[in-house]
Amino acid sequence: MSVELKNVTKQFENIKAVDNVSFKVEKGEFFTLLGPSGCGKTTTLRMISGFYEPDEGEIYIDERLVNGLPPEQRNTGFVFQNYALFPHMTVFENVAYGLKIRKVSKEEIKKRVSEVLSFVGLKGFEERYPHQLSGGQQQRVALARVLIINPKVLLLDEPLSNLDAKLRVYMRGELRKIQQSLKVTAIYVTHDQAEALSMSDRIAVMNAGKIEQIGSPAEIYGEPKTKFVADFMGLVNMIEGRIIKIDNSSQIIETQYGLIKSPLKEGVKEGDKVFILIRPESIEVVKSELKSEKGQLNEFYGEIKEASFTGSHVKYTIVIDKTLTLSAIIQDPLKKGILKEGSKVKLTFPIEGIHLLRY
Amino acid sequence: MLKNRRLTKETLIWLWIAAPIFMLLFLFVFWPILNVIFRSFIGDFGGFTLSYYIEFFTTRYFHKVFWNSIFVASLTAGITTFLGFLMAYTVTRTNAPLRNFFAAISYIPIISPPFVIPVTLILMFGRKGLFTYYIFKTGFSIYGWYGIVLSEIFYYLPYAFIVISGVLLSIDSTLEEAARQLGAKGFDSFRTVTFQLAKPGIIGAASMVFYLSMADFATPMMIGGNFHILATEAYFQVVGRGHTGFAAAISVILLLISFSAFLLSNKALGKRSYITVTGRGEITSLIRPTKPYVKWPLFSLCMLISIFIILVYALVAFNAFVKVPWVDYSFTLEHFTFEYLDLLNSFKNSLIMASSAALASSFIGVLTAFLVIRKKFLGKTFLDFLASSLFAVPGTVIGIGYILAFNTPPLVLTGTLLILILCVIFQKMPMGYLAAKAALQQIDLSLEQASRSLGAGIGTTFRKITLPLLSPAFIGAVMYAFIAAMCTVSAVIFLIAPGTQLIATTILEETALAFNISRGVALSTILIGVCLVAFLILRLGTKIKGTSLITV
Repeated sequence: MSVELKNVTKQFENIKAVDNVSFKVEKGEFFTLLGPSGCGKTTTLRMISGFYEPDEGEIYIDERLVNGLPPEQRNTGFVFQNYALFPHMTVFENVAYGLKIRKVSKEEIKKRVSEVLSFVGLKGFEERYPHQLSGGQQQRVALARVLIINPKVLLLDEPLSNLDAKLRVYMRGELRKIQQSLKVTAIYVTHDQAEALSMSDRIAVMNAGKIEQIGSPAEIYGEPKTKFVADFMGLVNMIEGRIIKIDNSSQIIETQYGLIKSPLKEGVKEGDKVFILIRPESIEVVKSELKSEKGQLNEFYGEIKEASFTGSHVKYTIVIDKTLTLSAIIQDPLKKGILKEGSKVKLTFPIEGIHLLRY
Repeated sequence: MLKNRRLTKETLIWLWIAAPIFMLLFLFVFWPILNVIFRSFIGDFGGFTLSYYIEFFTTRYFHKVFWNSIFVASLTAGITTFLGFLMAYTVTRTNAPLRNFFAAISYIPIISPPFVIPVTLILMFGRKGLFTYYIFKTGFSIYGWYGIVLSEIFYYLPYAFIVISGVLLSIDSTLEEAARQLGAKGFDSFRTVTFQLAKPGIIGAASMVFYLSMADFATPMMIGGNFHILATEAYFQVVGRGHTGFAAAISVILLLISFSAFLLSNKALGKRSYITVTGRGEITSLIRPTKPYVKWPLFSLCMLISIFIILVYALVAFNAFVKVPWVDYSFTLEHFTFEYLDLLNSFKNSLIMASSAALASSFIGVLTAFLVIRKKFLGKTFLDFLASSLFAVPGTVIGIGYILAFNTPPLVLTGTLLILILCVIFQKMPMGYLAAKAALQQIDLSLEQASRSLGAGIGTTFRKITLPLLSPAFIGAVMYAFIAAMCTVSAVIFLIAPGTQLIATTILEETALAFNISRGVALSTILIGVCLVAFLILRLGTKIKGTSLITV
């Protein structure tokens, strides 16, 4: 079922937690609200679930206005960050809770609990208490508990943040698979951009109560619209410059460190100040002595300040002209060889790895 | 190997520090209680006997006294816990206005003399009460079980409120949201989640009020009239008839009942640990918009309770300065003059006793808490149990025990001020102990470990890190213990002698035995004043030393 927010605002004391937010989540879509803590993403989710009422604006679930409707009448399934499993109930009782409240017959409850527990891979755990389960198992119980009531919309509030790193990556895939197989609409809240990129159909990046950008993971990462989005998505290589020439396929930007040629960006003209974003994984690094004059187009010279090897790749921190620091990520470093700290290098920026942001 | 040896050495050091506490507890708590138990089996002329118990359980009158006690304590526990729960729920869960005000007002009875409420009830509903005599001319008077229960409800409400709101606050609010979201309506979510998780707190609070009520002496003395309960009966047996052995047997029965209730309360409250949730969630407020038909009745109830409490103190203060309550309203100070009672001396005694007992009991309490929470040594769990169980030992039992234990060599203390001080130290020690325990549990152990790893020894760490962090709890404990010591009567009433009269026992005697309400009222006003000053000093003290430290 679709979910739509129209100009929703929520204020706590003097802080606008959510400020005039609008978006529409399509049926069956996996939609992620991404942003730093305090950006209003959880508040937005809580308003959809009915825990908070918006001060202004409308919320529609399945084209129906739900403002003022209590949580139990919205037919959403909320998975809490801490899972919120009832500590005084067994796994069975936790999962059966929603059906019991709906006065479903005992046999039916038994059948459906057993079904949903096998679906999440927890058959045989019925009589355990939450504190006897691991974090990952608790997570599955929390999921089973909402899936059993066939919610129209699944609302997930940082459900993976309490798991250890390996399990977290595994559960990303699991959650996505479950959502796909049930074709249920999901709204997912996280501050982890990798999580958002790997799971979502679309992402809304939020900052200070406002939506900065909505788009597919590729759009959000590849074409960030604002400095905040670029920064939050880990695009740290940002250089200020001024457009000096535009032709029909590209533009030339002058920076303090040299000239950069970038793919054409609409709506800019010669003389405009811009930010140049260079994706770290697109930069090529080769060993080379520093030249006295400035390099060719899309070429800078610098010195490696730090090389950090993580196995699959190596990340270089490179200083150019003492004032600019860039990150470059090189895949498969064992094959290409790792450059030592202090090495003089030449950086090349392929044009497709460059994105312009209006100043 | 090396590490093990060091650990054992440290363990030994702490045991050496804990040993004197054990000895003191043995000498001044255990030994008197043992004396009571022995005495209950020894005839007036020596030799083993069961005659006291046989008499108790075969005499109709004592049967009645026994059931009176159980009845009053159960009723008080039931009503108080119910009201305490509603108040705690209102304050922690609803968006009713004035929540902080209600919480603050409900604490007042804890820090004021226990006679104040009975005295006010007598003023309003006594034989010459405003309502019962002057307005409605009924023959009814509040003396009896209803007076006791009504007074104790207000006196113990803060205890129930504190325990239950503690439990309610510890229930993760997302659990209630999860229930709502899974389809439970407001009341269903309350019934299946909130109430279920609060149950241990409710049972704990109810059994706590039960044993506090069982042990209460001052209230039934003042407003019980001819309605006798175990604690007062034991007193009359000793003081009125000199039947010490029989009083000892009553005390043992009283002790057994109180102690069982204490064990129940301890068990229920200890079970709470499973509420703690895994991982951290976004902290969401527990306060929710509440349906008007829930909010306003709860609000009215809290308002009524608060108004009653304020009224109580206003009436006491007012009547202290009028000639005859409800008859002659002209201003007078005559109730404050009682040369023949040697009032000044009583005051001096009370102040000396209360301040020294408060300091000593808080010191021992804090030290014990430090040992129990932070250190490993033999008998640690036992020490914890002993220290907290003191709370449940009825003052009557302690009082009779002290008479028996310290009336004969080697330790003859009866008739001195010292025996009063010692008695109150150990009676009030749980206050300091529990306050310090709570404070220590909030101070992260890593602070002490950091100090140790930076090169400070055990002693320096204690002095420079632990002690400063504990000082707010210590100041708090001293002040509460001081107030409690100023107001206590149940044990000391057995131990006062002509030279060692206390102000609290004087009030009790004036109102309960001499039926002079006006004098009681006047003296109570002075005592309330002293308590108020102590309380303000406490607030000031913790403000200067504490607030920023507590939040570390």
